[in-house]
Amino acid sequence: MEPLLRLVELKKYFPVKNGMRVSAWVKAVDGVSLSIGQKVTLGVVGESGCGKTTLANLIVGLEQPTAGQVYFEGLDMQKLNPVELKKVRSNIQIVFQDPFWSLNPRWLVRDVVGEPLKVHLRLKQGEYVERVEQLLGTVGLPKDAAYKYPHEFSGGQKQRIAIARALASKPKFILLDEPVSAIDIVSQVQILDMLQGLKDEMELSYILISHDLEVVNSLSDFIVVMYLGKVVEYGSAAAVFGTPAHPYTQALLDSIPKQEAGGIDAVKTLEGEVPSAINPPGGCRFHTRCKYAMGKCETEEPTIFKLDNQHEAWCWLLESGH
Amino acid sequence: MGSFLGIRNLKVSFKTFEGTKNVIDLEALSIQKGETFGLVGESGAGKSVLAYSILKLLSSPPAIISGDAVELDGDNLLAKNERDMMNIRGRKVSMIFQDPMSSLNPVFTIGDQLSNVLRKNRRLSGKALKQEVEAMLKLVQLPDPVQSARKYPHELSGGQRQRVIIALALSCDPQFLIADEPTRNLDVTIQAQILKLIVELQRKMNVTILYIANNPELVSSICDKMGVLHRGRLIEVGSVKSVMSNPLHPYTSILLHTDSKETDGTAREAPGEVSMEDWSQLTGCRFVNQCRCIVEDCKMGIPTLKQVADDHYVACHYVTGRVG
Repeated sequence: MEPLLRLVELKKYFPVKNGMRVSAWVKAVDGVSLSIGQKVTLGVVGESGCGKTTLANLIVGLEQPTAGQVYFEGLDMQKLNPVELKKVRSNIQIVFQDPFWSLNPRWLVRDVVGEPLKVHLRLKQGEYVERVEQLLGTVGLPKDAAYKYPHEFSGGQKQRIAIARALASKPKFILLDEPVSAIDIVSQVQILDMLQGLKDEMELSYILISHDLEVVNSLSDFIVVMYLGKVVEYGSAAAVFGTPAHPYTQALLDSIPKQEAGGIDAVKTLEGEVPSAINPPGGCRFHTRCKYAMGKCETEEPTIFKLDNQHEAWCWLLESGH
Repeated sequence: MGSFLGIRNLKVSFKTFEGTKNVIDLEALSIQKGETFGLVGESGAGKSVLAYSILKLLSSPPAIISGDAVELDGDNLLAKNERDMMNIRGRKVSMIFQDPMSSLNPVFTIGDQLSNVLRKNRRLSGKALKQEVEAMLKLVQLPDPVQSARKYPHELSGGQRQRVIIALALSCDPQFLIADEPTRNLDVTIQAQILKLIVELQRKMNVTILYIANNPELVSSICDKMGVLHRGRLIEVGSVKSVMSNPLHPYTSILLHTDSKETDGTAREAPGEVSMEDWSQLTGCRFVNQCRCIVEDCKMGIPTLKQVADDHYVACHYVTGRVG
């Protein structure tokens, strides 16, 4: 069966310009292949600069890939004509990281949430009010919120408005790009609970992008771990968080201080920082920070290693049986 | 023995167009010398305002600071004038700010910014100054101190910038350090590095730290004691162990719950949003509208901190009514 969304060797390079000449390329996303089925949440984790947001933009079509394809329900998004593309796009929505910048400050919430209805369902301004009020109810806001401006709401409430907007065109798939990183810790839980509820209720699929492992763990069925534009580990949430195979995933999980485990003294830190994506290290990109790095890691790019049906990692260590 | 930092009846209000709003109403807070005290609370609880009012960094008006005492090592900071405060800031009390991007000057190299502080506060110059700058950058484990000193803030990554901020804060050997969410917006791996650095330096230099964060789990991993701030009032204080394992105030248990690793997907109890209602008008407990364990007293009087166990204080009528 064709999955809902399939990415094939997706690449995005950004030029680094030196005057008029292109002197180098930032390899933000460098060959990512993924697929996600219906009613599934896929979590994407990684440090900042690993290409999470670029991947998000490629999927929703805000950026054109340098190479590779995005298939939605079997259709190659780049080969569609504008009319077909618009039809497909009503099924793909996005919730951005920062609700302060993603809502037009001059529009009433009614029009912010109503815009997709206008574009995709061709409703006129007078006709969509009822539907907007209903949508606001779904995300736990009162009806009269429709007649306020975005600045009158708190961060958590703004993010609810952004979610209502994403739900408006009845999508099958929503991309959540750091949906709770800009809001308060107490509202975070409420938003995450709500997203989980909406997923079951409206049969949605999510891609959840976050640098916060707790957030990803609480919502995802499957997890992708990215490092410098590449996928290093993929598997079910239980497998990736329970028995992480790649040294990078292990390091990420070890970085969270836990009181019961002995607090900060028990934390094993990963030395150094993410290298530049302009000139990524050869071989395995993680070898500069990996404590298990061998000679092979510096020269050859690791190939896929299947730990079991739903768990794979890209690391030479696994090959040699560690 | 008296405490190193002692706050008694501190009230901070802000004058706004809609009248005066009370933001901090703290009856007592004391931090012992050499201790790391963690302050948690959601945004809008007044954590940063408290930090700023200890350093008297709030401009007045609009801020109105009143109260009995903010005592640091025996000195009442509330009674000090601006000139005395200038001498205290940096030398005695120092602060690591939340956002490393906006607390460094973008047009000066980090070496310049560090020298500036050292020249003014420690009267260093020439070769000694240069050496000290490099020593400070080395202390915070910045790669290649000599080269780094010549860099501008934008050339550094977020984690490196935060290291520079720590170097700035520690450059004049303060006895007391306020860290206002120093790891916000940092990746988990970098967060772990910075936390380790802070703990390591604290042990080396024996500074007292007030660590502010909104993540209780994080606070509990590095602090000795912790306090929970809710709407400007301290509602629970105690050793990290007893607060984390046995949160008594209904709000604390919600706050700790929100951070738990439950994945069963069942709806967790969480209070409403940080509302804009003016809670300073409430005569009783400030949590009363969201609380699930209301007793008669809650609407009548503001609960004060009462000792419930060894090194564990709670301000809640419901809890103290049950215990006492």
